[in-house]
Amino acid sequence: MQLGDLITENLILTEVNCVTKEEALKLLFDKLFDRGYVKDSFYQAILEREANYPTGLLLPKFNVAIPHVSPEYVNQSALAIAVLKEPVAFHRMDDSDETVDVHVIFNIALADGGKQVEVLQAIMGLITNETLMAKVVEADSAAAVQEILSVGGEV
Amino acid sequence: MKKIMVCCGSSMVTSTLTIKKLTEAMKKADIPVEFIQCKFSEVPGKIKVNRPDVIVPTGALDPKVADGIPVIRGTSFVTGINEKATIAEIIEVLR
Repeated sequence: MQLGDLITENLILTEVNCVTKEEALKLLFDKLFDRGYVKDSFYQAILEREANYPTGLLLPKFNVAIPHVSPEYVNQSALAIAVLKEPVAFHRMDDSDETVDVHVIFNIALADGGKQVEVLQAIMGLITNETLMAKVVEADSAAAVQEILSVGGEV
Repeated sequence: MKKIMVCCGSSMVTSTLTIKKLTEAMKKADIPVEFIQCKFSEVPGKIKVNRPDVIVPTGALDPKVADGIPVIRGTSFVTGINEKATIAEIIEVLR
């Protein structure tokens, strides 16, 4: 599976106006749930996971969060992405007492056999590419984000 | 044979990636290792049985649960930033 296969325009949200991560995660969940990718327990599981083991990543330029849960909450693998208008605070993966202001959320929903590691590696390739991330943060449409990431995801 | 315990939140995603990267790094450093993979919540039980030489959590692990075993945080394997420094620290502990 290529990252490009997981990225679909209708799971990308741009210019998202949220104040809290809970709001942003709910918007992402609604997208995933409406299309049948995840079970209704997914949202609660994501919140619990963030509370116990947060996924905010401090990066040189654009911080991201990679919320994910185990496959039992997922029907079909998918990647939902929210590009935020103003960053929201996530707790840091490497230090849960600290928070980071996150610009882009990659909500990873992987079913069993969903090649978790390959997908995570591909996402890492994207998030550490500052040129690419700058374009994503500036993008004004889901189609634009999809195009930027699909090209970047094959590198 | 050295034992490296790699642990993460719950879904085994970040720990699997970390093991993949450490396998290559340890091969390069010529250090024979075996990995123990588990969730943070399983660490206290597993270290009693397995006594790893080092614990590499991908996130924040409560240092109290490590029971004296060195802990080297492996978040760099998820972000890709400063991976080499983390690998060097792990090698130093193992040697």
